Amino acid sequence: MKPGMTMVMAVLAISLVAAGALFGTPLFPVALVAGALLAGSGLVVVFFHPEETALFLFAQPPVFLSWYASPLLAVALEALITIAFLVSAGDTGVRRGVVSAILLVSVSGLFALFIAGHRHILLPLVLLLVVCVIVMLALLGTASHLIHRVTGGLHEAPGRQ
Amino acid sequence: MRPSRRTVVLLIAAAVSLLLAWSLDSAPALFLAGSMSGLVAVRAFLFLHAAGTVASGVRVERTATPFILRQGSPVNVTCTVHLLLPHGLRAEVSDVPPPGAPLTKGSSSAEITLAGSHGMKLAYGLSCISCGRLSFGGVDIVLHDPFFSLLLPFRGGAFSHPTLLVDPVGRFRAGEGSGIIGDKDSEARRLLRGYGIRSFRGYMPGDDPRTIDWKLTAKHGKLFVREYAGMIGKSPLLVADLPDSAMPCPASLRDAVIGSALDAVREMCRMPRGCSLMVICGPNLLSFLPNERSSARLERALREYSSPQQVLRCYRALDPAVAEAFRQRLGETEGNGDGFPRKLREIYSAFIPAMEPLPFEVQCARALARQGDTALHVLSTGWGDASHLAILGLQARRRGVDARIGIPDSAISPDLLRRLKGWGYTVVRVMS
Repeated sequence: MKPGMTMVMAVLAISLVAAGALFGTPLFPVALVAGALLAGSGLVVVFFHPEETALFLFAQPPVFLSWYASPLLAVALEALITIAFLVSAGDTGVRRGVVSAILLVSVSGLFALFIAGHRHILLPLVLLLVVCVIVMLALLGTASHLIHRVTGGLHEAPGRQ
Repeated sequence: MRPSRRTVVLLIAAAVSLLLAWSLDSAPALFLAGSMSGLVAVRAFLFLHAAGTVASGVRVERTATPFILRQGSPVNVTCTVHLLLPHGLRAEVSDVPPPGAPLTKGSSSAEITLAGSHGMKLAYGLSCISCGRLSFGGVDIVLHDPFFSLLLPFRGGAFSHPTLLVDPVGRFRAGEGSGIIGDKDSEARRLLRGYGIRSFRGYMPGDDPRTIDWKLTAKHGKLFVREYAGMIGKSPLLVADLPDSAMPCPASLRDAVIGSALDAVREMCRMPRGCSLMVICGPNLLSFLPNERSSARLERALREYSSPQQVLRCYRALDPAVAEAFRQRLGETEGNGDGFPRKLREIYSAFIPAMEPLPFEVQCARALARQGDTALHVLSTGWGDASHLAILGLQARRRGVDARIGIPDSAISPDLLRRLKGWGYTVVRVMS
């Protein structure tokens, strides 16, 4: 199979599901046209310059539209494209890939439920920014601890004594 | 931790989505921003966890042959890095050679793409341009996954062994005398090497290639070097005057002195009475090894004090005998009726009886008073205050010991030569 075909198939499936879920609503034609355009663009990308990240981004508009049908559907489609992305990136059969997929589905599901419960997005957005800062600090701390551990606390240049 | 290109793209998409959510009050856009940033964050945590697993299992075994060598000599290094690589990761392993030791052959880095336990062997060659105790920088391991890469710089004792002991090149310059030194001085440049051959032995790393005896080598199929018998019957005292580490003395001068001293002690320790070495730093006696036959002890004494600090100083120290000579000379000129010489003579007369020899003078006198010492060889940088050289020269002259001094080429000046002559040094040699 050509590299990236898994992602194209996922994009196509997500586009079809999103359009089907929006059948009978004013957003249906938009979802249909967007799905067709993105699936076509995905095929072009796969045949001329296979790039998983671009295909992952191609799947975001149908997920965006599917939110108006059901937030849970958007969560499921986002989980699907994320897993396809991880598989395409070479994490197939790796424990880290499975763990990250499970974690992502859980976190994004909880986040979607939290957003859906609010009329305006101000509070969820502030919460997201705060969480992002905390996560960034935690990452920096973990990386710094790891580097300090391997350097053995030595920071001076080695060499002539 | 460096993000890969796809991670940067995802973060940009998340930021754009967040802006859309903010400006349009769009819940799905916020959900997408959260999903994409969450993907990146989860991958970052998992990557760091995997990197921690790799870091805890890294072990390095490194051998360097030879590890005691001469500046500019080649070293063969074999470094084996043991590590356990998890699935989904790729590792670039590179050994960090000591600074000032460029790679001459082989490669000091390699890449591991397969998961599992590995023993990566790196074999390469170095040429040590720097001198002193050179330690390896450690081992660098760069881990890659599809989203991030991280450099793990393994440093510290276990990862920087072994230490290379690189002796500086500081041989006396061979050839005819020239410039301000003159032809007469050039004859004495091989003072520490005799002209008769005492014995032959197998070649050892660090030996001067010029001492190889090619006839014996061709006959037996292995390298033999000549051992010279020079200075038999004499027991010269070698004085290595090391510069104060607190003073801005050029490293090349210090290396020239230590290199020449190492050369000299290696040859002198094979002589019948061994080598008498005095390591000083200005008027501070650091070490004194009389009639020492162990080259290891002599070399250790030189290396141990390779960057000493000068505790005592004796700027313009005056010897009582010299002061008495000045006083007498002033007495001869007193008849002119000038008041200043008379006053100065009175000052000399007042303080000469109270003058006590410096501890360094006593140490020099005792070192030179040993029986059988017929020559004094001083190796000095000639940098800064030289009062201690004057004390050494005067003490040698007082005991009838022939005093000779070696100074780096770049430090020699006509004024210094004139002063050294005045202090009693009969020969000034050039160290290159």
